[in-house]
Amino acid sequence: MNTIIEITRLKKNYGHIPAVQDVSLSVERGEIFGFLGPNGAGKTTTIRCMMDLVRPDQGDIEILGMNAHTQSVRLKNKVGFLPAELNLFEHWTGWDHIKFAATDNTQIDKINELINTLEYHPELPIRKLSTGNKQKLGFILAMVKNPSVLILDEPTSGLDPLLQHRIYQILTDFIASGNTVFMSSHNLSEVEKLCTRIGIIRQGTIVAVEEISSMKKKTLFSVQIYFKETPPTEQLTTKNCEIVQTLPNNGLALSVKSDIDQFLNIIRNYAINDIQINHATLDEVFMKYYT
Amino acid sequence: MWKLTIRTLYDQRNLVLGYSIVAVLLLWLYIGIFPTFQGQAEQLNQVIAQLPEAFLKAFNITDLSQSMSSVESYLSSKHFALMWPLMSIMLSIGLAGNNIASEIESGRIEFLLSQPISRVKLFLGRWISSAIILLLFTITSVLTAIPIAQLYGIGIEPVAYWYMTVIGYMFSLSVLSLSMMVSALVTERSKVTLMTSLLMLGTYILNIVAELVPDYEKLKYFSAFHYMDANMALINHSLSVQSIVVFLGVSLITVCVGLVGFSRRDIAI
Repeated sequence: MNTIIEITRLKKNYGHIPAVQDVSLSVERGEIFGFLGPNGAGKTTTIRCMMDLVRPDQGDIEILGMNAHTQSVRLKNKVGFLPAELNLFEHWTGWDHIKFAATDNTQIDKINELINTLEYHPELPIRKLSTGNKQKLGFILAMVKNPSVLILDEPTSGLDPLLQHRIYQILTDFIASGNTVFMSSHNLSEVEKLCTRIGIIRQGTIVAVEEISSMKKKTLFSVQIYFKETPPTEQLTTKNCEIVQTLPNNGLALSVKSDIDQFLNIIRNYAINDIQINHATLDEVFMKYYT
Repeated sequence: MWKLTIRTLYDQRNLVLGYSIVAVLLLWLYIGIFPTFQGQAEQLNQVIAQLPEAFLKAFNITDLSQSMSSVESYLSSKHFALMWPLMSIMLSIGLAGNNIASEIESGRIEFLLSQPISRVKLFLGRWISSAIILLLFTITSVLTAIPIAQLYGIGIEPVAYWYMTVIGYMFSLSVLSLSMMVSALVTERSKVTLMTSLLMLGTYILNIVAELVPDYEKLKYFSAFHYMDANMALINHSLSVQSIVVFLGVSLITVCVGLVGFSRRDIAI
């Protein structure tokens, strides 16, 4: 079985407000599938349907060949879940949570190794933990059942870059053992680093499911550049480069699509005072490619 | 399911301990002053005779020469008619609110339901733990009357307290089940407290109206306080089969409705 997650024509309304409409996608074994979309796009509703927290109005979800609703108990033995907002029992310690979540599949050596890797202190009660430490525990709890599939809703939000890097490494090792990850994010650079494929959801509808390589071709950079002399606006106006705004002191704000090398080749011929190149936000990418 | 039940019992230990201590202290107070009251029953009767009849009925104030004839009749009218049910209601509603609605409100339900446990087992696991807590509370708060009375050299009928334990527990169980049903259907703990308290207050008012207005006498059959007959348990040393059937019936129906509602609903915070 290569298809691990199969979502077919999923639809969910909250009252009269549509949250998810006709969402279909599949995730293969060994993939880290990135589920992208702006806030309120329907990512969390889809994930809650996958975890049987929310019941779809229409459509089916199968994970590991099991129905996410009718076989949810069996399924949850094999699926690790990290919600977007992790809420735990304030007076319990980390160990209390780990023992509570442990099943026959739990490999305590692996959990201890994970605790050490993340430098987490499980003896502390939750009320004494910082946001980052709570997130570490959430990640450990998702792994505690030795799952075959991880469903992660914005797993690295609120984490420092060092910790993010450790989580990326753990996820990479996780899929190397033939497991599968489905993660939502609105951090494009994170998704680019980790994921093999992505699904993009906007206003409850899947607008694209793409290999990350083709997504990279759609990469968008936001550039602010200050020239020593008058900016070469004509040379910079190409198929992939658009001048968004003229700035004071010979400055330009530009939007550069796809190949940044081509743009760098052009500007190397000019004297520059200052330059800032950033990845465009996901919203900007959406605006550019998916609207 | 049992892991959840045991953990919930452990987490609620302070709550049940607190309620039990208060209930025992209250019982001690009532029994401790009983000999003094018994000696002054005649004088108090004269004062009571001045009060309006409706007032006496509304607050279950009876002829003191009757209610002071034994510690059981005294406790029945003074403690088990209103104060004890009130404590039991508060504990039951508090437990039920914590069990489901509070977990949804705080978002902890996502952690609980991401474990391999069905919603039915989660509901029943929490209900069983609360039922055990209520049993402990009922046993402690009723049966300790026996050693306390003996401490003051007051003659008692131990069997009366066993009957009181049974009817008291049945009453508590029905309030717990009703509150659990509400807890499974709403998203905030405060709504459980408000809705169940209003419902219990309504049934208390129905019982008073039934006592005061002969035309509305049959309304008493809609009141939990009519079936919570402490007099029958403590004075007549018997149990009303009707009361047991009603309490068990209400418990069964509300648990079933709660289970169905909780299994079908969306868990959206």
